[in-house]
Amino acid sequence: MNKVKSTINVVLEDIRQRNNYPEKALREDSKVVQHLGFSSLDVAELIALLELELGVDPFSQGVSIMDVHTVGELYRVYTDALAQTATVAMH
Amino acid sequence: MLIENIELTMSHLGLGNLSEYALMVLFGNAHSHHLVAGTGLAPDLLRDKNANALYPAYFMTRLSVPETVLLHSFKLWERVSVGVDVKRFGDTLLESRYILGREGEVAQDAQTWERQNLPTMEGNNLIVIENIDAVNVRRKVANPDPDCIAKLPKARVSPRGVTRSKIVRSRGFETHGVESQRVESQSFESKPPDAAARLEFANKKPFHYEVLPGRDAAPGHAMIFARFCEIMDAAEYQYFSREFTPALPDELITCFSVLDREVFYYGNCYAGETLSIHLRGSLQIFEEGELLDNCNYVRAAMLNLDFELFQHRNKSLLAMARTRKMVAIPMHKQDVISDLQRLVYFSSHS
Repeated sequence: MNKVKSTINVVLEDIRQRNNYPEKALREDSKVVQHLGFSSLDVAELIALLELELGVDPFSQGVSIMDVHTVGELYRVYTDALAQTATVAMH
Repeated sequence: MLIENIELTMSHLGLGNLSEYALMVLFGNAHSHHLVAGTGLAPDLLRDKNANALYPAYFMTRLSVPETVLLHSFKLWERVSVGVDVKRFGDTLLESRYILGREGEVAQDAQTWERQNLPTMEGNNLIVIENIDAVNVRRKVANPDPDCIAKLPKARVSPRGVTRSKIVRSRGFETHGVESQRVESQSFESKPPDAAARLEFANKKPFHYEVLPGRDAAPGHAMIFARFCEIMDAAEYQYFSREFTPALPDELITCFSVLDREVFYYGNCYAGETLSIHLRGSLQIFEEGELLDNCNYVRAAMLNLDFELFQHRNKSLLAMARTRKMVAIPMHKQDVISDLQRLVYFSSHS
């Protein structure tokens, strides 16, 4: 598993544990709100913690939180944002 | 950080002195201005990338007022400074601190605000889109277009209110600190009514409050966060003037001055709704009223109140609050301290 996926999984698990949400297997099609039970506050905190952990904020680069629903979509937007940051750094 | 210098006008205070509601609205105004500072946009033009209107919904506020600078000491036509300092945690969580002082009194360094002997407030917001259907208000977290929001410094840790709002919702507020010192075992003859007493109480049935268009909420808009405090005060007034036995006179109830109010907002409502309000608390009479330095009033008692506000039709929780108020009796009304002591004594024995 790459660093982005493992980091996202760790942060999701941290929030789940802190809130005593039922444990569920993380699948790419798991919806963060409907399946994992995250509230709006949890989603906001998740995004903030991922910015701290991964050093990149895809949502300041034009991505809307409203368009990200699943764990797989989270993997993708952070992978893309990191790739974009690396490209900019190379230039 | 933003400091606004303004005059307290009749638009803010009516013909009275500064109220908690008026102060929170002043803080809310400054917060709105701060969020769009440098963008050239008006606060209501906060948008996401798809041009949806966004709203920084408060989910926690905590007001703290020093005993020697009570809110009613700020008078109509006085000039004041309102300070606000906002940090963001991620794209959608905001952590804010606020301060009020006489004009020029608020320090330019927001790090020193906690040490100033002035009214302050902490607030946490979540930036949301509000979807309103015929039955419910649903909020979805949404990130603002970076061109529509000020460049705000980043917080490195999650705002305190995120965890605390969940704890309070599941466990309620902790019980009031001091164990009950009710004088119920004492007879009237052996315990004169001026002795210290602590009375615990709760309303027997919830109060109902009708949210009226215009007065409480603008048509088509949710109620402003500050309005919750006024509704709590209305419930408090109703309790002490109608349910508390013997009832407290108005001139006593109007001496209740807020020192601390922590509110967690879990939902909101619109005009036409009815709210159910539960309250419980304690009233601690001081054995000897204390005259505060440089103040023209006596510290006669301390009131602690917990509130829970629900939407009446579906029982959904809207807000929970813990409030601490001082009963500050003006020097020219000292007689009512005796009334307070006697009424609390009788109430604790009834």
